[in-house]
Amino acid sequence: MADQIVSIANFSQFPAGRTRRDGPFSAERFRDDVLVPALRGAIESNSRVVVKLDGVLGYSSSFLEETFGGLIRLRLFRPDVLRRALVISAEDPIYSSVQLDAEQYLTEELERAA
Amino acid sequence: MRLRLSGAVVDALENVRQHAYPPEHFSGVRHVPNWWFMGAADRKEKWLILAVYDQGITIPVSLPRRFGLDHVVTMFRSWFSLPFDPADPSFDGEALEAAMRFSVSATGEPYRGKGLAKIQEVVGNCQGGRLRIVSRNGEYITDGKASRVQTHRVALPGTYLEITALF
Repeated sequence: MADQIVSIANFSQFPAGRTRRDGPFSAERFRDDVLVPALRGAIESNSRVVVKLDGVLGYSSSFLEETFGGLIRLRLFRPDVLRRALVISAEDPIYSSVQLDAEQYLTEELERAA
Repeated sequence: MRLRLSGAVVDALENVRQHAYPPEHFSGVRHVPNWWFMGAADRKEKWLILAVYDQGITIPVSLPRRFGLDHVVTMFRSWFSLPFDPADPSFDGEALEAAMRFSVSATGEPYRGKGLAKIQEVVGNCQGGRLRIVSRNGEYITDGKASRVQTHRVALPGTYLEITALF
């Protein structure tokens, strides 16, 4: 099955905040309403979700941490299953530092969960 | 650079939202629980300044609320050989440095509180980058590598965070 592309810029060009209380384009809303359903579908069909970071005007550390670290912290998926199903992507090189941050938050939670 | 700086500003704004105006602190007190954002740029000289101000409880006062008074007292003595009392502004400069150290080491809930450290990292990766924080009587200045602090005699009512960079 083909990979499913999830673009954060389609969710909002100005994502911010950790929880829904923090605003309408929070990490919690993106993760739970967009990313988790996509991942569940991908895992069922043995495919992957590619999260595209490009096109957003700025990422706060708490948005990235809650989005990606939260997937592990909340035990929404088995870590090995999640690692196979989730790809964090940055096509434009200016987003490569954001990609590294997102990967780091995911890795930190994986290490804490181990 | 624009992407990193805008992320740093959002981190600063989220810090205000999370920590500056705890409802119990302002119970029965008229206040404006907002942030104010300012920016300036000089195309000829190629510099820009981005600044966020809030009228909240200030960073020195927020430290024990975030990390526990006993822990802050212990670390303050370990790092600076100084006593810590959130009601005493005598060492507010050091209190701001302590806030940065707590953020870098992700003290408390390890996945939270990375904002200040991230802002400092962004500044360190910008040409001519400088971060200046003034909160109550303290001032903390860093280029992302070295830092210095001072404690002023007059208090600022709130917290002012300023990022300078060349472009």
